Amino acid sequence: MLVPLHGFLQGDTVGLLLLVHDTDSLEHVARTLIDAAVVRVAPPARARLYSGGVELPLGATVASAGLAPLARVDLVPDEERREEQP
Amino acid sequence: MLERDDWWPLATKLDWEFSYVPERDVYPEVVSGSPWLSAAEWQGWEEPYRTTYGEYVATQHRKEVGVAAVRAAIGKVADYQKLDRGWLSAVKLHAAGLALAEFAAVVGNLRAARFGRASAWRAAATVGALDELRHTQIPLLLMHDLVRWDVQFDWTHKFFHTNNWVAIAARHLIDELLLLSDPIEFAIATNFVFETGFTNLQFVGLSAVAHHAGDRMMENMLQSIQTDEARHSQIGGTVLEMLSKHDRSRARALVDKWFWRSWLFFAITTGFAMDYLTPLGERRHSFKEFVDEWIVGQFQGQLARYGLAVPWYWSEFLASRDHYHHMAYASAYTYRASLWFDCVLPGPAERAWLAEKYPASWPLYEPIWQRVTERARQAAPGLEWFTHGTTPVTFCDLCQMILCGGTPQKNSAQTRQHAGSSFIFCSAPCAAIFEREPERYAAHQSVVRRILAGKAPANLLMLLRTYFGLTQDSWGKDVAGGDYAWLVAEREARQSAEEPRC
Repeated sequence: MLVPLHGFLQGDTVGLLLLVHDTDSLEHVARTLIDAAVVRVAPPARARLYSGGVELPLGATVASAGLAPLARVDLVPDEERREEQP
Repeated sequence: MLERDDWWPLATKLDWEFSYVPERDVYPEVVSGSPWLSAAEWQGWEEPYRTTYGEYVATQHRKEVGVAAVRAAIGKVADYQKLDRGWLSAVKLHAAGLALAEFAAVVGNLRAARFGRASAWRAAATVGALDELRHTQIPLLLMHDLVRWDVQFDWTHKFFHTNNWVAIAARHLIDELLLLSDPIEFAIATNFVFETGFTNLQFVGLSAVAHHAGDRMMENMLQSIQTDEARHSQIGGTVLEMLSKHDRSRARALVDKWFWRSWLFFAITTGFAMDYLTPLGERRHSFKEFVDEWIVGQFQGQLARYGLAVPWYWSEFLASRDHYHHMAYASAYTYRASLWFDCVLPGPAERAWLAEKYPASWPLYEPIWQRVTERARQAAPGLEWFTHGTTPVTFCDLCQMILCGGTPQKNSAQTRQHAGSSFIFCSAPCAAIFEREPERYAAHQSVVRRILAGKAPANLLMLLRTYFGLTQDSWGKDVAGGDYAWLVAEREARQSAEEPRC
């Protein structure tokens, strides 16, 4: 099933529409977001994915992480990770 | 014979006492607005200009003669061809946002001319409607002359009739502001907030920039319009005073809603023009400096005059002066093919100027422009797509603008649940406006929802061509095709450094 997500890469200027499947891994979601923002933000070496302030395991799938359609996900490059997560 | 000041109140306070129908049927609350007050309570309504129709016609005639004379002298294609291409993009952006929005304002004024609760208010709104007709016709006429030379000027008329994402956002604002609002909301939203609070920025500030950019036609047009706006904007204050007296919470809610919505609109139309599209050598002030001079202090003073506090999100507004238009412009540049005007890639000199004007926030934007510049450096001139996004962006479910609130470090987008659906907003004020009247906004579909519903294509190129109404001729490009002198020099220097040496 197609799951549209609102993706935000820290360091970028705009939210991006990520069209992923419920069986896709969160690593794929993170890569999709990095690729979508590549014009404005250099790809980070490592990054962490958050939804609702909770860090998500990149090995999980969209479905197993409980990401509903039009959920917001935030990708925070490791070198820029701050105390307060979005 | 009576002197002017003796007969003027007799004429403007001329009204009827209804004997066949109740006053509430002549001015139904659903159309005239809340709170419903009897005509007797509105008797004290006053505005400072006190223009008679004869005086209005004479003054407007002089203004029309002035605009026509400037057009005859410097309004030809050859005159525009001398102007900077970046500045012409500012003209295209402004003209598209202005012309038919002003026509919608005719409708709003005419509703007030019929259903406004004071006779003097109705008289002022009548000439206000005539004003807005001028403001529609002037840009349509001036830009029409340029269409044969540059098809992007066609968007002066075409813009509001398209499903371009900016047009969807503009219609969402303009329809509610000018077409749907009752005369009380119209007076506060349009006359007080939009015209008193913001159009000074647009018409005084931007006309000064037009002067420095050498665009005397734009300068003259904006000044001609501004003098009208200054007059009919005066309708708003006295209506706000009445509303504050009888329903203070509604007065505050309307000011809060319309100040934020107006701010987002002006930050795009004027912020882009002042900080990015005006040639560097012609800039005198930053957008933020104009905002501080023409909005912040003035608007606070106006609110204090009517005993109202600044909107609850004032600190967020003040912070956004350093960010919102920078966030939006970097996004717009990298999605410029979704626009009807060309964008400027800020070079080292422009970025140094922005760093000086925005010392607190620019360090967050410099890496983004370095990244875009690096890709432009790698691309050959004219290769647009290497510095262009390919994934659709997302949109606020209230203002319908792209989600570029907050800062690069922390985007201010907010999610909410309503009636089993997930909604996203660019900012806390947009979320609050939605939550106050969800039934008014929930059914509107953003571009994302249209894509998901199959009404618009998800493929970006198809979206531009088949839904946004753009063609390869008309869509926005880099204003120099990537062929900037500074970029060519950098590219050549790098190639030279990379060449093997014997």
